[in-house]
Amino acid sequence: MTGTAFLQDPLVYAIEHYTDMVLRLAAHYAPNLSDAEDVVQDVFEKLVRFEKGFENEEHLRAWLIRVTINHCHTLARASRNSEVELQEWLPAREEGGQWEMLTLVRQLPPNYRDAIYLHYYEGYTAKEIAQILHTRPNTVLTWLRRGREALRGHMEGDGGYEC
Amino acid sequence: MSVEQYRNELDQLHASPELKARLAALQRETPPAAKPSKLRLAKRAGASVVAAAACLMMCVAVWRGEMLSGKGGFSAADASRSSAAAEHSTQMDEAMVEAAAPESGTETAAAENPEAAAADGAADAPGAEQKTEVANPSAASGAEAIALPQTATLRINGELYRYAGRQSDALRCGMMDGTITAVTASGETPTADNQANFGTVGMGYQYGAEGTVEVYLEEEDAWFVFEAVEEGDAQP
Repeated sequence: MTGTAFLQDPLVYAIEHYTDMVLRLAAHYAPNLSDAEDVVQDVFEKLVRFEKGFENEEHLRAWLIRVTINHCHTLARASRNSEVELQEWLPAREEGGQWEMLTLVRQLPPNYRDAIYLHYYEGYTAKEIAQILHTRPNTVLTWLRRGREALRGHMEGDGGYEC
Repeated sequence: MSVEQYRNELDQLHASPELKARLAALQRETPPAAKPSKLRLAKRAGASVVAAAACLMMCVAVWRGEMLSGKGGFSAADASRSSAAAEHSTQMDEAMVEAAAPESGTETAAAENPEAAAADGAADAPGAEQKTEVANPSAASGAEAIALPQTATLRINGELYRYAGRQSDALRCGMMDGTITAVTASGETPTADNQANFGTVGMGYQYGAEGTVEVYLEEEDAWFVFEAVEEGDAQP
């Protein structure tokens, strides 16, 4: 399904093309892989209920990113409120570990995580990220800068960052 | 460790067969793509005022026609009178709208001219104390209600936002970006994130265009636009 064919059935198109993207984004928040997959399912269920349609493929993609991030933020808040101790899916930092970088990124504040994932993995510019997240490009640039600084701090072993 | 490593790690994440099966089931359960439902039209305060006034004037015109003719129906002479009355009522409508405009001017102007509204908001920042407590009941009863005082502020992610005096009719994805978790006394400046000096705990908000935040008030079934302000301007 290419071109504007996705307009006929955005769900089929999204499942085919964006399942992994939603999963990777969810992996930045969910305590384990199973929960990340639940997030994926929740997001696609929201897509089923979304009635307004999409202008183009990029609109669909941006919608999926935004809804995934919002859903993850909501779940993160809920888990904080319920004071349930999250089990760690990804192992603690370990030199040369399988998820070393992802583990570090997951320790960043949510906005920094989003910006870093969208910029360094999905390849969006700060302006595009700002449009997706409904914020200002300068704010995104700040998140990216602070996120990089924090990661550098972690990697240099000082164990943290100050905002 | 590098960006490359980060990408490589993420590349290893793929949907499991179980997830694929769940999504396939979701596809099967979903009927073929339905036509999008009709979009809800934005409330137009001015239009509703004119419609209500026109209704009222029609009733008056009918009543006057009956009274002047002394019988139940219209005569030819009555018809000319009623058309004059209708013309008069149109003039009255315009006069009423104009009369209502100063009271609800901020909002009407905001709906039609966001830039002017923004300028208005900026203008009242330094020393427009007289404009701060605006929730005018007479305006609220007629045109689209201004349910919030212009001192209404909230803090999100360390930034302070103040009510821009207008509502938003933007399309929504349905997901809130956050909720208000604490409410301070009216007039106080919120000091913590997700704190507001109006409304109730649990109000949802979304990030809007151009750095704004839009708060949903359930009782109004409307989204109110808030603009980021410098801390110095936040004091009412």
